[in-house]
Amino acid sequence: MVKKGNWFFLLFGFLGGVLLLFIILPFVTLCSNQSLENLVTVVQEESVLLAFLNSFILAAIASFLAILFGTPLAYLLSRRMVPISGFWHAIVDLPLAVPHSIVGIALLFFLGGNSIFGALFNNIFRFGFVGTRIAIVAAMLFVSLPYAVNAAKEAFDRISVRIEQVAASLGAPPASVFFRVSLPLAKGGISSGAILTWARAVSEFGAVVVLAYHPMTAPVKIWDEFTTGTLERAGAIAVIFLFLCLSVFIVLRLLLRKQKNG
Amino acid sequence: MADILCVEDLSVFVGSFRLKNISFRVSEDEVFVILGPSGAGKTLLLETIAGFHKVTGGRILICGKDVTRAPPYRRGLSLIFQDYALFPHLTVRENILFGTRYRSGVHISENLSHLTNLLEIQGLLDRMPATLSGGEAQRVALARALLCQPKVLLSDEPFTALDAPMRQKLRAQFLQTIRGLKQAVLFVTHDRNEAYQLATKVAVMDDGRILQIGGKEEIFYKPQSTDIAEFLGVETLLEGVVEEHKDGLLKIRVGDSIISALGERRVGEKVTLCLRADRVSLEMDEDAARSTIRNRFNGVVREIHTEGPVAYVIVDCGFKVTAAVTRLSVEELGIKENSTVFLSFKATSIHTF
Repeated sequence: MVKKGNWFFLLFGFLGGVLLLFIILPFVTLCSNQSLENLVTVVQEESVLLAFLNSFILAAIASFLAILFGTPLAYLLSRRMVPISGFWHAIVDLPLAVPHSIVGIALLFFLGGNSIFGALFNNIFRFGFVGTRIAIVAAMLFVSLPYAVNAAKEAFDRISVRIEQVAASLGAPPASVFFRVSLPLAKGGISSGAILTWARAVSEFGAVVVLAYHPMTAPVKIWDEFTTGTLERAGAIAVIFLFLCLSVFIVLRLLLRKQKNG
Repeated sequence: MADILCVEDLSVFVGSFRLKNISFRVSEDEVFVILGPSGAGKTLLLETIAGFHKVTGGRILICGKDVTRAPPYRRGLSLIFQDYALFPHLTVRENILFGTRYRSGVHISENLSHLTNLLEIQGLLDRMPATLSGGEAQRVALARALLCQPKVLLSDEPFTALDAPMRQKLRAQFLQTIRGLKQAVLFVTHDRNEAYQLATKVAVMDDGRILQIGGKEEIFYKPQSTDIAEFLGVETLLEGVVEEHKDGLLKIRVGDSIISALGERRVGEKVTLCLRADRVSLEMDEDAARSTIRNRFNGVVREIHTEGPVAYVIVDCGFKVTAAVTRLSVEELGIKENSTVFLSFKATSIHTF
């Protein structure tokens, strides 16, 4: 029996389903095309493991920095404590709209050996910025920080102004209001933002490859195998990296949910 | 009694809202009610006194100290709101004790047990705010606001979101709790019954201005304009012309009738007469109507509205007068629509402006 209005759900279900399959099927075919032998071989190679380690740790550092600098900015923007806060918020979103090869090149001009900051960096640390793990973190931070700032801003936006007003009237100075009221209430949102920021940082390729081909992160390693090695090896590394990323992402999300419910 | 809160010629602009030349004083143990319709600027006034808006003109003094430019956390006042604004991540106890670390010299444990007993929230101290009912949450908010003995308690329609029986109970508890705390209470509401019940003094506010300030009897029985009278729900408003003025006694012509009132008015002056329904007596026969009363009229009942135990009887005696009687009296006297009745009211019950 076809109920009235069923065509609506059928049509929407079909359109939405196509999109979901478009996400899932490439991953399924990628995974199903790998031989176990290839997977076992690549996972034992030091360069592959090092690339994974680089990706995970450097993305974690980028995520930490994004939260550390992004949370105060999000608070200022959310409470409109700065003039033209709408404009500054648009600036925060800029990395989302710019092609990531442009991000890499811009950072290269800004921090490369021929720039003022690059020269300063060289003088202080006695080595160049380009081709270092610091460069990788910079690239990851640049492209992922909007997620950290936006998540924190949304979390602060959800807190009623009344609650902060009451805290202030009870004698709490602004810093106290922030650390005793606003931050604890925004904690969940900021943590979700941190996970999303990490996921975005781990997946970055374009900006990273411009600033540092070496040391290699996993996406660069996969690209390197694809162009100079074989598609089979590139596919095998890709599958392992995909599973590791998904596992970390899922575990973090579950931990966060448990913390929220607990 | 010493003035605790003193607002002098205060002006504020926030977006399209503005407050214009607001002045009033609130002294110790006084409940000062700001009464006005929505959008009158009541909340803005409260927030400005609390220190959340920049003042464009005038001064705010608390205990004689100018706090016009002081940040909110240095003003020594506290707030309660319609939406309670409890800290959702803290227990009831932590909520109430929140301000203690900023204020020294307060007898914390003594105050805590006193307030929680008075407000009947001893059993809630370890609960989280999300598990409280509206009435419980507002009592916790009140305990939190009062624990550190603020000089001024600012209340923004704190009982509006509650159902009627709880609202009634909390108003009584509120008055009992703040009694003798030697602080000033500034209470904002749009509900004239609430204002009448709680206030020692009332300011009527509209469109960012204070229209009239006075004791509550003065405000409710002697409004200064038609707008105020209508907002306060004065049941009978009549237009008339002064015909005679002798030794403070006025004879005012309203339609074909003459109403006696007290006051100083010129002969020929046009005036508006205010008469509250509870100041009018109704009888079925003329003899029963008290003969010492100057204003006695007979008329025909046009409408009867009942509100709870009270019946409002609208009588046409050439001009329309509303009388409030109990529903029991309506039944016992046999008052019906189109029945003829006799009504009387004292000259002192008439207020003119």
